[in-house]
Amino acid sequence: MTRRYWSRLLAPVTCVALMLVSQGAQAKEADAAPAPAPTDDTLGNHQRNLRFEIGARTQFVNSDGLDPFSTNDVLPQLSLGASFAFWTQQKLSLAAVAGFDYGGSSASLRSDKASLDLRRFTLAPEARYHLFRVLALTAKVGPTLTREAAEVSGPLGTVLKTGWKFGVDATAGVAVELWGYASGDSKKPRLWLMGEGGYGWSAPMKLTFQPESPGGVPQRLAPLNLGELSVAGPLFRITAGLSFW
Amino acid sequence: MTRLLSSARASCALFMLLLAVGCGDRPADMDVAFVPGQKENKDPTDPSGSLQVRGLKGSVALLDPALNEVMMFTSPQSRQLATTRLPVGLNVAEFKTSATRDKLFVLSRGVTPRYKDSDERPQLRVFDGGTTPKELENVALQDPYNQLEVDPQGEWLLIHGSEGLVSNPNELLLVQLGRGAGAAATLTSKTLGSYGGKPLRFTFTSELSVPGAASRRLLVVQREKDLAIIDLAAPNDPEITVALPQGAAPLDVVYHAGIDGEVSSLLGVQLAGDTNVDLLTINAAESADHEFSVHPNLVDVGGIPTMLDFVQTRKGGGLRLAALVPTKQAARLIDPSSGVAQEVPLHAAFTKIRRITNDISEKSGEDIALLYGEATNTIAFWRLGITTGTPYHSIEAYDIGIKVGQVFDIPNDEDDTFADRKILSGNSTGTTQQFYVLDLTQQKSFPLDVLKNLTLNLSPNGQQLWAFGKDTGFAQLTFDPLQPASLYTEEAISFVHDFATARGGGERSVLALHVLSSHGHSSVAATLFDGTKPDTARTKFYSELELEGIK
Repeated sequence: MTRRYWSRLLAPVTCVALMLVSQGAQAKEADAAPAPAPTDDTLGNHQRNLRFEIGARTQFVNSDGLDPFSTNDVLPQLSLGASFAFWTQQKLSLAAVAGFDYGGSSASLRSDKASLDLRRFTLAPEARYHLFRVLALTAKVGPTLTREAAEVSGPLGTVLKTGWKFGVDATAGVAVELWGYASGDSKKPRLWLMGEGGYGWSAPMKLTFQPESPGGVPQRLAPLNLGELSVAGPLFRITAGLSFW
Repeated sequence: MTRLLSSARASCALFMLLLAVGCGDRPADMDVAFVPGQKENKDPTDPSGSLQVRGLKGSVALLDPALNEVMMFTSPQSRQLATTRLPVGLNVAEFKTSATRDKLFVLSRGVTPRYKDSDERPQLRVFDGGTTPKELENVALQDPYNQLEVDPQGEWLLIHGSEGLVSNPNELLLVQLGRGAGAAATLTSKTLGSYGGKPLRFTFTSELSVPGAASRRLLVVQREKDLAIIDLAAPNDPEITVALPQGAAPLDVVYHAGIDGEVSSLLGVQLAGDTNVDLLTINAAESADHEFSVHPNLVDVGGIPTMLDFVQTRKGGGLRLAALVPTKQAARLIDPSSGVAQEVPLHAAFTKIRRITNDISEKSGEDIALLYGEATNTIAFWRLGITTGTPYHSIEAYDIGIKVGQVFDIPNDEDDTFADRKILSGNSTGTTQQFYVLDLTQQKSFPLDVLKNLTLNLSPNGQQLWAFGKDTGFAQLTFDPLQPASLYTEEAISFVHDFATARGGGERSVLALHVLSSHGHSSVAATLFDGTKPDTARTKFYSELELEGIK
């Protein structure tokens, strides 16, 4: 499955997921008794938990530096995360989040092939506010460290440019508990669906490429320069998670 | 829960909106593979071959036909490369330089057929060939044309060869290039009257004197059965048509500005498969329609001539039309006043003649001509001043071991130090290929052995010569001292040219262009050397130049 395919797939998948969430919520609303107004006591493990997540992150990058590697401005990534809610105060809670996003894009570049590989690590505090027992609003701002690896395969072989870039992600969203015992005391796992949007920024990287194997290219090769890549722009993340306590 | 449903739908709508905003396309140019422009080139002296690349004074121009752009490679300083992309219009038909290599001319056909006003028109674009490439002029044309002729003196361009359901081959478009900064080109559309002939070749003359009128330049259009002579001082005036004897087709036209008190300006016409030479005298006007008249005189030279040229047999006079007749192993000198032809026996069957008097600053006033040809290993210097009386002794012949096909002039518009040198090249009979550097002043020829057939490219500054083949080696040849230096690149060479850097002060870079294969397509790379003291160990290699500047 190519990266381009991922980017095309993400939009409909995300929409279908959101519709399912709303349908699921509707079904739950029909079947279940009205949820009691949440209190610190009743929220229990709905709020204080250790959660593991997997999903997709899509970022819209308007940097000219992305053009050689992608036919559009969408940068899809696999998103993995873990969070631990360590502090609660009535409906409000605070969690420590660690995330890892992996993805990239590839495209033909005139006569060459170009690809971009991104691995982003995130560490951030996340504030959560439970509107209902099964629904919480979330907000998160945290630093990121991204390994950006760009390569161009041309007549002289492959030239590379890699770098670690600091950045920041600021997102807000919603977490819905799809499945789990109503009691906050239950120790059973709970199934969550999270959606969030916001803005991600990484420091720009100059795209000056060096040969992968210096021995196989002409002497005193001038580096290929494709400008500057700034992985910055609006982002969406849809993840499913399991929480434990 | 209704709120939840609403917010989910709103999120979906927002997501789709952001997706639409985010799905901006990248520049379409990035999706287009590079394909080098190729066009058949029958000129053996053109170092570009079939590749549409041109060497200019301050840059190298490479056509990028897939993007309708020209890549102008310049050098900010020695061994450094910069690329400027300039649009050239759709469907490039011609890609030529001026004789002095200071301008690049690109003729494009635009969108054909043009269904919409927004479809691009045919155009002629003129670019600066200096160290800061830019478009100098853009002339919109009414119809698409296929051919462009460049005036050797850089004043005129001739566009012709329209192509359509119905086209008139005698329709010409004369473009007088603007003189000075900001001056616009002027267009004159001209449809030649015809008796059935189509244009074959064109000759721009130098200034020719005309009795009773100002001297002027002429454009001689060689057609299948006649000549059409256009007065470039009054291009809107009707042309003069000169019928050729028995409908013979012209092969070549030579001209001379005449000699005061002896003979008026002359045109000499070589006819295909004919032993006659048509000598046309430019006389005073005989009608109000033209500023001059043309009087033909047919002279039989005793055999089919292979080349004509005007020569002077004494200082300030003695003008003759020389015709080489290799079947007789002789030349004929035709007196334009009387039409009498004097035979001069030659040492070999020379087929070509080149007057070289100006190149050697001959003070005696007599002309010296170089005789050569592809049918003989001999070249000869012909001293026209002592032809009368001792015709055979006027020729000094040398066996140089190669059949000379081309004679290259050393460019002298920047520096005429080596204007007295000629480069002779052709096919050798031995196993080792050779070309010669001819010192006209000392009448010496210096053979240079080469391992294979090489393409020769003279530097625009006239100080050096580049010889290159299709592999990774090429050579620099300086004229003083006459010293070749072998140089090597790490990729196969398609073209070599040296040009001034932007820093000036005589600093130059030499560019060896490579067209490489990449994923089934082509890619452009270049090795940059210092242009005056090139060294294989001191180069800079630039790859993927087709990516430079794409937007």
